Amino acid sequence: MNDEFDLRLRKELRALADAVPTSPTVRPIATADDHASDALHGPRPIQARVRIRHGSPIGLSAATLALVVAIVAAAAFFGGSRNGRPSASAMPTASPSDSMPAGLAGLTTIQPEVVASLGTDDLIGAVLGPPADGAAYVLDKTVGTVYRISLDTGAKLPLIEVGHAPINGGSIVGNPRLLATGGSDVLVLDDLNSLWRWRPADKTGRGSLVKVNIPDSTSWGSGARAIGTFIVNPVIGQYNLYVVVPNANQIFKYASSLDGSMYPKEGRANYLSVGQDVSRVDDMYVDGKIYLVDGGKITQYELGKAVGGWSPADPGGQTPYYTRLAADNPARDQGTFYAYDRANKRIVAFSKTDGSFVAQYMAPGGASWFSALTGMFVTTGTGGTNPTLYWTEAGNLMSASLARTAAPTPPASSGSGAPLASPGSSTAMTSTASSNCGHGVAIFTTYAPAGISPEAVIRHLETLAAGVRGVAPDAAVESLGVAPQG
Amino acid sequence: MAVDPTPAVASLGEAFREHQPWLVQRLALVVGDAEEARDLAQQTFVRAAERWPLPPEQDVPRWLAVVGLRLALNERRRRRRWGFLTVRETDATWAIQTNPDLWRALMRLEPRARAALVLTVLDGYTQDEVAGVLGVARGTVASWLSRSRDRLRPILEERVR
Repeated sequence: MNDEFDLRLRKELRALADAVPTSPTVRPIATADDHASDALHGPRPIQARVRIRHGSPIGLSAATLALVVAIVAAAAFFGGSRNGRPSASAMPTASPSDSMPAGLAGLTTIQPEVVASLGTDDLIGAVLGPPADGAAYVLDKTVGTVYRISLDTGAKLPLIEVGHAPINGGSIVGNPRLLATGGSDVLVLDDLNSLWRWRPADKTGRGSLVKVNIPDSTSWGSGARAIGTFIVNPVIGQYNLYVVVPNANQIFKYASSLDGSMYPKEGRANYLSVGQDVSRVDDMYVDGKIYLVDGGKITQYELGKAVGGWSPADPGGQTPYYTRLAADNPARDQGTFYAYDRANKRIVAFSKTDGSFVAQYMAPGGASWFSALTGMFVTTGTGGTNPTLYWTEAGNLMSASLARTAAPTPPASSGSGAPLASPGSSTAMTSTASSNCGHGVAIFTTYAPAGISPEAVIRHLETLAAGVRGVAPDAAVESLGVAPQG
Repeated sequence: MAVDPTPAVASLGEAFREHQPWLVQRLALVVGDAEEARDLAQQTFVRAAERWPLPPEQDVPRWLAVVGLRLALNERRRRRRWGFLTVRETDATWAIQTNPDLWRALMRLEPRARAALVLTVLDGYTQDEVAGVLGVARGTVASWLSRSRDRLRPILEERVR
């Protein structure tokens, strides 16, 4: 009986689906009433067509145009394109990983494991949730959703989605762009420059979402590169907020209001004593000092100034190009930080104290991991166990134990050497681990298919844009080099 | 035969041609409007274009279904909450002419339940797979399907009588 019903349901649903007019409907505004009969009048000049994105503040045409313009600009300016981590930075154009130099000091091969697969292949950030939760939070740009992923079971739960309304009413969540953690919160910055605070209630995924009021956030423009936090009052979980703002050539530092509900403009200060170009910043780590991953290099800042002479040690291999940073100890100058070197497809561990080399990790030979890592964090090993690296890549949240197989041989040149820290100076203040997606305005630069000339990419996108706007599929694919079927 | 110099791009065109129709059909049944379904399918393909080529291990139809459905459900939610973005009138002539009773009953279901129904009944997804696509527990999917069947059953059985 049930089978019979299912069969009938399938048959009738199929008939309904088959009746859907799937051909693009294209109509000028003037004849918008003529809805049902204009299914396919053949290709019309693009200038004469107007697509109405019902209910959308931004039209498809504008978005597509922006896509094309951004790719033209990026391709012309940076001279190359690549799949993986977006960046406006000048990048090495070669693919160095294919010929990894042998004999790297302290090299350990790790065994990647899939924690969870999101399926949409567009994760752009990952942070470890606050201790009360202990889960990972990853940002899926494709569908504008932040997922909570249990590190124990891999269970994923969509928590913050574009269009969500918080419990305190008012605004709606835009497209999430950047992630960070602060105190007992997960922070999400959306493309409307609204900062959202997710506060987990327990380890099951329950919690509350509220908008954190930052009255002058519109002054950041559209390209904030990274956000980070630093706890100033561990008792009440109060933390300062840091925002890398290319528009202002600054890192804005915000002190929160006493109740933590807002970051008033009066509490804003310029962190950098002298403004500088921060448009190539890919990541930021705050532990009392600030570590910026800027243009492939890691720079340490203290009291608003770059610490002269400090640099992470050379781990060997080809010139590194770092894009992500995480640490296993939030206390200032203590523990190890881990940097993702995209140029060599590896993770390099440095001492936070002096930048000296500790170890480096690569995936087994032939594996493609670490070619397009987009977010990472490290959990501390307890009871003598190794720390664990978690990272997002190719639509997956991955993990690997960071074992150290041998004492590292000091590379040719070490870090700046002398401890720059003032032990105990700020270690009473604990920071929060933050690993930001650092996703800026250059998101489109990544999407040009590798190995295709900018002209071909533009032609391809224009054609696709025309196709999705209403040109018959055959015409849309004609310039893509395939013969229309049928 | 000329050699295609840009096979990756060509395969996107092929994917568009091959998958756009069924994607629009599924989305139309979920959102209740063919025009909106085409918009959503467009968005889905633009996202695919941004990511193209998808990794080889990626199942293209599944990727399109996941992204399309999530975009559809997000869009519904967004419209409900932005007061000034009214849900426009839909033209469902095609549905009314085909099966008005089933159509009306479908539209009375919750959108995610419709999505679950379409994926399981039309495309043969398992409840576990649907739970993964929609980001909910398997039990929730089972509950939606059970309720949906209960509501649709009188319609279909009446048509038989």
